[in-house]
Amino acid sequence: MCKTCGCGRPAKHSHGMTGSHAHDHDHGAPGHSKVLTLERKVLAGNDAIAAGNRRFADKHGITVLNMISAPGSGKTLILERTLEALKGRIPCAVITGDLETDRDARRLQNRGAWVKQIETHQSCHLSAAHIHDLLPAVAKAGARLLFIENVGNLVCPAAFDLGEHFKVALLSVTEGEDKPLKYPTIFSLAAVVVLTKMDLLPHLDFDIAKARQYIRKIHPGVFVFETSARTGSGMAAWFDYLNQFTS
Amino acid sequence: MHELSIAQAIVDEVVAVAALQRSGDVEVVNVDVGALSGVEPDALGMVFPFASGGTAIAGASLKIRKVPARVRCNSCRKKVRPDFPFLVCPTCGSDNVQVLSGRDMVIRSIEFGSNGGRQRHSK
Repeated sequence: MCKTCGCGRPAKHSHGMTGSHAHDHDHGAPGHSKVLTLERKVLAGNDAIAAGNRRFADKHGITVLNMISAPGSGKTLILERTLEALKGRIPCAVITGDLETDRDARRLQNRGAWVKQIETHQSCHLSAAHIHDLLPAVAKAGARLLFIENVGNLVCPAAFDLGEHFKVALLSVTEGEDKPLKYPTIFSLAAVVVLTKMDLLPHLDFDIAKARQYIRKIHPGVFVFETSARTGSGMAAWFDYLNQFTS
Repeated sequence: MHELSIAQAIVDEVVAVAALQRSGDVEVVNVDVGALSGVEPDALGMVFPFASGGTAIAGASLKIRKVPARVRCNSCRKKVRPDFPFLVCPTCGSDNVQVLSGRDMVIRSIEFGSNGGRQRHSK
């Protein structure tokens, strides 16, 4: 019996499928068509690697955060400030993904953390395999916190488990308070939401109360940080949140 | 494109399983796409031929069944379909709900044709 799909079971024919044409199982001689039941998640391959990543991280005492946002929401700057704040207190590592260049990795250097850039070239998101290859080096560097700065994209990264312990959804105030309604998947899956660029509020019509209301509709009870990496406002709460994972 | 990654993941899984079967050519791949999965079924159907072209399952058709979101409301205890994307109970309005289905994309089954007939690319 095949251990992948249990094909020792009798074949069964199902006719209740969507499709624009009737499916005729009789294809003429010789033999009948066969239906093999699989019931396998599409992303099973990625998920298996992700589960392995998570086990590896647990074994080495590393907490992994998957930071997801639209491009230009301020992920890199908030990471710059975070690494500066945690330097000498919590050993950190960053894996940062972009289609091209190592510009983000270079911005994050010299802040006491192990930093590595992944250029995905075509892919609009990181996948578990990307992270799997780098985890041994992260562990060797003695990191306790691993930040994965995903490719700037509010859609695809939500679907691809990287083996993280938490997803963090970032939303800058320049994006409009109704973003969570328009891109609900990531906001419903994130452990916390971080509003960024709060220093720009005086120049915008961004309605914070509405933003919180919309976030609550998509993800009741999720904690929302209000931050400005530029001025430092609200960052202490974010650092405190991170501290708890290593205490 | 997002759906292309998903289509490629489907193709990889089906090619691997089919290679172990020796049951002839794969004609149909049946997939469930959940309403909360973040995948647009029409787009997935459109890109599937690009993902499967040149592989051992080139020419196979993708049949998509849309799975609605279902939640259990912890307040009124009913199993209901929320008004996507708002995860609130449409019966009592509570947001204290647990997602029962609709998050996943699942390859339900593969249908093989009888041998002979259509030309295929071999791997």
